[in-house]
Amino acid sequence: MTTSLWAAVVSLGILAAGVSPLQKPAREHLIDLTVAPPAGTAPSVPDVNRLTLQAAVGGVADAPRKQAPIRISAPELDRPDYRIGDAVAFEVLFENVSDQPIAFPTMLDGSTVDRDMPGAAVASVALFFEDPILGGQMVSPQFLYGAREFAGSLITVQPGERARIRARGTWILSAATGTPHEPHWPRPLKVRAAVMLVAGGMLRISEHSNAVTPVLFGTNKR
Amino acid sequence: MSRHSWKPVMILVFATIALGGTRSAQAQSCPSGYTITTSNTITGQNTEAMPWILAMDPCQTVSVQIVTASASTHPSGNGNIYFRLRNAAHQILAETSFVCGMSCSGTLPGTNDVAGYPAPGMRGAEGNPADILVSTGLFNWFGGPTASYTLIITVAPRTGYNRGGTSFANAPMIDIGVEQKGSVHWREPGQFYRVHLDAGQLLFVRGEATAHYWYGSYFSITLYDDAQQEVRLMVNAAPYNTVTFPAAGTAGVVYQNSGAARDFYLKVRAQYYPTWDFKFTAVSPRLTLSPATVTRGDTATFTVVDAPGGAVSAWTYEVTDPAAASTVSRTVDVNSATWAGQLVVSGVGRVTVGLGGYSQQLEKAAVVTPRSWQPFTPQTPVQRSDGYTTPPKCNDVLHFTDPSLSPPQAGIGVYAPCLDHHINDPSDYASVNLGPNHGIKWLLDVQDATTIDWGMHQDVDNPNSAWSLANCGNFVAGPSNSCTTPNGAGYLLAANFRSGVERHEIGPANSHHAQYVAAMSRTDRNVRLNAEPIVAPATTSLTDFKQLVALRLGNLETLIRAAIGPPEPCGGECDATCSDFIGYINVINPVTHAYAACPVPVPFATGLFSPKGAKR
Repeated sequence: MTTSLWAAVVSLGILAAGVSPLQKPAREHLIDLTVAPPAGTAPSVPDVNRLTLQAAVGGVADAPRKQAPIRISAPELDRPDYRIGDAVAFEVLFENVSDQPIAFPTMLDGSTVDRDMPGAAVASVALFFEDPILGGQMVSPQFLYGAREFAGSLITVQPGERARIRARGTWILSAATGTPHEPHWPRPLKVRAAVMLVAGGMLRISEHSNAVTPVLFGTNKR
Repeated sequence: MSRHSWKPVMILVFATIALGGTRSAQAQSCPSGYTITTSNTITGQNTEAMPWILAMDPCQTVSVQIVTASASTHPSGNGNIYFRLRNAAHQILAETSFVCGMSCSGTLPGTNDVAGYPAPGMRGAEGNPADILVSTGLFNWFGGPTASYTLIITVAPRTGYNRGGTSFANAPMIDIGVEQKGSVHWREPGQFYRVHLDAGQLLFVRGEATAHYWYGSYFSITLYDDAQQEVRLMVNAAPYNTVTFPAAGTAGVVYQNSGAARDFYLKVRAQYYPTWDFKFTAVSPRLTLSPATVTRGDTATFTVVDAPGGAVSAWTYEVTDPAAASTVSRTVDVNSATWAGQLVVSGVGRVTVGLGGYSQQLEKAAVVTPRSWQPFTPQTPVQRSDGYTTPPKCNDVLHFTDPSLSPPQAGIGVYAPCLDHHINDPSDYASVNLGPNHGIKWLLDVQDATTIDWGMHQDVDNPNSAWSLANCGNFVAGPSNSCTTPNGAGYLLAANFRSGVERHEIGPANSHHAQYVAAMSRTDRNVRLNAEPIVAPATTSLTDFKQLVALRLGNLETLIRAAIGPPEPCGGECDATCSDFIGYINVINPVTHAYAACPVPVPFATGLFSPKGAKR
C-alpha cells in the first residue's frame, strides 16, 4: 500500500534570509521527525529483506577525488550541556553541493521497505564526536527509510537545495565506556552532524560536518 | 610481715628483654611470649615470695605448671602453699592452693578453674593477669620450716585477641564483617569498639562466647550511639561452654540506623564470671558480585549475603555506562537471594532486604571491562590489471593512466581499498536474555571483509615496453635537487620509477598502504577494537541496533578511507624516502608522436616537462 502517511512530516520552504535580491533563493526541505507519523498498514517485510546501512567504503586513490555530494552544517542543539539519558532535540542541515539530485528517505519505520523495491534507500542522521576519554561516539542516530513505492518517503534534494532534519532523541552513547565516575568529566565535546545514505546496497553518502557545536557532557544523571 | 625473695624479679627482667614485645610495636600481631622455669624457696609460715611480674600483653595467655612443690622434708609434715594469679591491683584472678607434704604438683589456674586454663589475657587491667604470687600458710608440726617450688611459666600469644578499647574514648574503629576476638572479665567495664553505619544501614551481631561449663558467664554486646547512649542490647547470652549467636538461620536482634551516617559503639561485657573467649562480627546485609571483575559477556551473580532469614525484593540494575543508560528491573524469581546473568555494561545492582522488621536497599557496583579483542590487521594488497573491478559492494574499476601521455598525469598506479566488515546475522548480534542486563544489545564478533587492490600501467610494469626502454635513467641531478624542488636534466630510469610507483601505492612507508596501515593501527580507528564496546539499551530494537553498528563501523571505515590520501604520498619520480627527485618522465611528443631519444644530453634545468607536472 502506498501512502504518504508513513513519512515524517516533510515540507518545502524557500530560504529567504541572507539571500541577495539577485540570487535565486535556495529551497529547503524540512524532514520533521519530531512529529509522530500515523501508523501504517503495509505489511512488514522479512528481516532479511530489510534495508541495512551496512555498506562498504571504497573509492580509488590516485584518481581525482569526487567532491562530497553534500555539505553539512554544524548541528543545532537545544541545549549547551547534556547528561546521560537527557532528551535531545536537534536539527541537521545539509546542502546538495553536487550536480546530481539526491533521493533522501524520510520514513522512520523501515519495516515495510524491501531492499529490492525501486529506489529503496536508508539513511541515518546522527550526532558524532570523538573524545580522548569517551572515544568515538554516535548520539541519537535517526534511521530513515524510503522507496518509490511509498509516496513521500523519498524527497529529491536538487543541486543547490538544502534539507533540514529535525529530530528528537536521547543522549546515550553508542559504545560502552566502562564506569562513568571518572575524575575528568564532564567532558567538553565538539559535536558534528553525520549523514549517511545507502541506496541500492551502495554507500552514496557518508559525511560529517566540518563545523562543530560545543557541548558539555556530564555523565551523571540529572 | 611477709618476706620476699628477689631472684625471680631478675629472671623476669631477662625474660622480658629476650622474648617480649610491645603492643605499640606490633599493633596487629601479638608478642611471641616466653616460657621460663623458676625455682624458689620461702622460709617461714604466712610468708610471700616476691611476686613474679608477668607484663602480659592482653593478646597473650599465661599458664603455670607447678612442677614440684614441697612444704616439708619429713614424711609426716605438710604446709599450705598458695599460688595466685593477680591483676595489677593485686586482686586475685585465679588461685591454686595445696596442703603440700614432701612433694606436690598442679597448675595455675587449675585446669578446671573458672578463670580458664590457660588464663586469658584481658584488655582491661582489671582482668589482665599482672603477676604470680606464691605464699605459705601454716605448717604442721613436722612441716617447714621452708617451702620450695619450681614453676614453668608459659606466656603464649593469641594473635588478634583483645584489640578493643577499655572505654568509649579509646574504642577502635572496626569494619563491618571483620571478626573481633577477645576475653572479658567481669571486673572489667567491658571491651569497646566503634563501628560506622550509613544512613539506613542494618546491623546485627553474630559470633560465639565460651566460658566455664558450670559457672557460665553472662555475656552481652550492647550498641551505643555516637552520644554514648545505649540504643540496643544486641547480644544477651549465657555461655556454659560455648554458645553461638544468633540462632541459626536468623539475624537475632537487628538495628537500623534511622539517622544520618555516624559512628556507633559496641560494648562487650561479662558479668558474674569471665568470658574466656568471645568472637563476634558486626554484620550488615551486603550485596556481592561474583566474579568481582567482569569482562563483557561474562556471567556474573549478585548475591545477598549476611541477611539470614531476610526477605528479598525489588531487584534492579541501573546501567551507569553512558552507552546504555537505563534501568533493568527483575521480573522473574523476584524474591531470590541471587541474580545471575551476562553482564555487558557497567552499572549498579540494587535489591531491597527486609530483616528484623526493617528494610534496607543494598547496592553493588559492577564494572564491566572490554573483551580482549584483537584488532583487525591490515589486509594484504593484491596487484590487479587494468579494468579490474573491485568487489560489487564497492564496484570501483581500476584504470591506469598511460605513462606516455604528455604532460604526465596522475593515476599511472592506483590503490583501491574496499573497506568493509561482516557480522554474522543473527548469531553475532546478541541481546542479553534475563539477568541484570536483560535486553541490552551487544556484539559477539565482527570479521574484516576489506579488500585492498592496486596496480600500475602495464607499460610501467613491463621492463621491455617502449615506455620503459625510453626511460633510460640518464638524469643528472642539479644543485639542490629534491623531491619537492626538482633540478637536473635527463630521464628517470624506468625500473626506478616502477619501484617508485609500487612504493607510492603499497610500500612500507610513503604510500597509500602505509596510510591505511597507520589508520588501522589507531585504536580509535580500528574497526574491531571499536566494534567491541558497541552496546544499546534494552529499549533499542535489534533492527536499530544493527543499524547503529553499521553506522558506527561505516563511520570508522569512512574515516580510515579519508586517511588514505590526500595528502598524497610523494610520487614515483621521487626516491623511497621522498628526498630526491629521480628524473623526468620521457613521454611521447604530441607533435612527433615519438619518445625523445635516450640517452640524450639535456642541459640542466631545461627539462622537457615542467618538474611540477612530472607526476605518475
